[in-house]
Amino acid sequence: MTFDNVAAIDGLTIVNWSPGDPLPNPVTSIPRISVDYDADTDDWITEFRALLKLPEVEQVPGLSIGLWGQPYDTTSAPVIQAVAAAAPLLPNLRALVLGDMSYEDCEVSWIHNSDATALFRAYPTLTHAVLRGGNGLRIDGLQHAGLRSLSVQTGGMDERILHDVLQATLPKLEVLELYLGTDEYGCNIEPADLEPLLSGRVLPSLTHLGLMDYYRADELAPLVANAAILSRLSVLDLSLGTMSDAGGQALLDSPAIARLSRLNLAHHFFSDDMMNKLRALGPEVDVSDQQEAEEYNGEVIRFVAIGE
Amino acid sequence: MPGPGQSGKGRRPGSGRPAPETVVVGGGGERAAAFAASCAELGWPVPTFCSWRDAFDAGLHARVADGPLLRIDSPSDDPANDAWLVELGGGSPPPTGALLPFDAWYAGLARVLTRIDEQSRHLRSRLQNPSELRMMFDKEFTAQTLHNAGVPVPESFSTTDAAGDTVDGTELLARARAAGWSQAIVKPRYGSSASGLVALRWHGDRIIARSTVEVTDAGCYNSRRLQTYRDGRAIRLLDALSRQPLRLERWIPKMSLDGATADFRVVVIGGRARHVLLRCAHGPFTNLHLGARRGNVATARAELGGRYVDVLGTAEDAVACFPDTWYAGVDVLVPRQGRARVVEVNAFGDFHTGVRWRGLDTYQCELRTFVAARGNRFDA
Repeated sequence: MTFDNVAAIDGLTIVNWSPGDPLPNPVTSIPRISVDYDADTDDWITEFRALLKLPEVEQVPGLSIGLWGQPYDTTSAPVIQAVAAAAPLLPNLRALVLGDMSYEDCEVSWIHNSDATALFRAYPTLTHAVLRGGNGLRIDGLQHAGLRSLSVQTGGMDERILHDVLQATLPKLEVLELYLGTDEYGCNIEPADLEPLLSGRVLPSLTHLGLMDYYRADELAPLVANAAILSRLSVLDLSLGTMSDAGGQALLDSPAIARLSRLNLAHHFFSDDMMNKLRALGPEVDVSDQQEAEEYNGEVIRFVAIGE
Repeated sequence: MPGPGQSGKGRRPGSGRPAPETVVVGGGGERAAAFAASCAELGWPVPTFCSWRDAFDAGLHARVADGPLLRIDSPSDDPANDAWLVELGGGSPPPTGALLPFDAWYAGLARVLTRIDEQSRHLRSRLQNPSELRMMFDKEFTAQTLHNAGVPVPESFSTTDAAGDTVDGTELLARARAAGWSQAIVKPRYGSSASGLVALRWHGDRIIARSTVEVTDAGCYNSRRLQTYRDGRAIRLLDALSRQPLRLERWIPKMSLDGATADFRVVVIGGRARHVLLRCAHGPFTNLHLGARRGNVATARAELGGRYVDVLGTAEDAVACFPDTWYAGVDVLVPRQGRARVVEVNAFGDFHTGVRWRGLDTYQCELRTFVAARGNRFDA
């Protein structure tokens, strides 16, 4: 139900950075720039420019764009523009996080995001990207020859973002995570909308697929369990959502699921019995963080991990 | 020569003088057991416990006649004490699991502390001033005192007006909006921060409140789980809580340390920061009993660089506002930028197992430093 700052990306730890600090060790770490809760995007850009003036900044292997002001009032657009424009100064940048905010900073669905495509266009060396905050987020016309890992984290994903991903040209993408979220916070994606992805017709290099934090996880499970893409996946991540025994059974019944190396189902509503059966399945199965459904006015409610 | 843990006056190696007797107001739970174990490890005499009830009934007089060290520990170590304090304070003890009427609890606490003060005022060997302990349980008073002394604290205001009347949930939110904030932590004015907290944020029409308080037809209850309240339900939660005097503190986003939202608990003893803990949470509250974990202080210290000294110094400055009290546990938050801020001064914030400072746990450090500061002499 809450989320922390992104801790690491592509093996690089993310370290808070403000003007006056030295550059984090470029072999092990990348800087996160977050302004004060009272500040605005101009202040963020000022701090970013201060980073760019550091000697050896060209060694920086990545950047995390954190709190850029009042994120529920101001969009990420000016910040995206500033980071894209700085590409000549950051020739070694391979990892990028947009919206690296914790629960302390902002509700994920209140983050005012914008089109992030310029970041991908500006950095051909990019291999790993995390985009957090689905409100206003687009990656329209995304093409990238080298991107290997993409994680899109929202509390409720709009179908246009899914559309952007399905239309994208990402020949080298191995890892895709989509935090689909809940309809309360803007998810208008039906399980059937994921069919082009599940068919394996797009993203030829994919080996790790996450369809996470989904409020219709039980309905999705049988579609995934019989999906053609499974034959090329080693990791399937269906964690953080509302999956219960109905979805679990669909997974159990699938020989293709049993052939995966890893299956992540953390944060779930399985019974103890179903948990045990899933653990015995074959792949390394994570069924930690068992949840209890709530009852409210006679209705049983299961909730995703990250919504608002 | 008696060995450690044996009853009777223990001997500290090399001193030739017996270690002092200690009397503790408290007992009945884990804290008492831990304190006794710490004394035993030091080779000090077994401490004598005087329950809070006994202390209220003038039972302390006889026990302090020989001028022992006097230490006051939490009444909540004995679970039966909370209801008793509420009654003493003129309130009705609530059903099990319900939120305490904190103002009545505080009034009861104040009565007992006054009696303790009367019975111990003459001692030069008491570790705390009971009046100062009382003040620490009034968050309004504490915040004002710290602010006046130049100790950074979050911006805040109280919901009681000059007449002592409280405002309702809608008015509370209106005041916070008027102050230009977008998020706040709502806390009962009296009592410790163990319960009754709300993490509140708003944007336009949208309001979201998170709290372990559960509102039922029968009143407010403590839940183990964080509940989420939106819009109208959030206002109703605030209404239910505002029967008690409340404080609103600006919710300042904490810096991420050791990979999580974290703040520090600094145990200040004898004017210096000694034991430091990092409390990491996945959510707005870092109280350890709400599922937070202990983080790695060394990692956080490295991440903070020069700002770490500010954390310790700020905690020390806070406890210096209570000059007659030897120790307290201070909650310090580090915002992304700027000075560290004191969120709370905890009178009984020294119960932390497994943390050592120069080989001493919190209790041992309290005792040793107190005795050393007085040249190892006590004239009753």
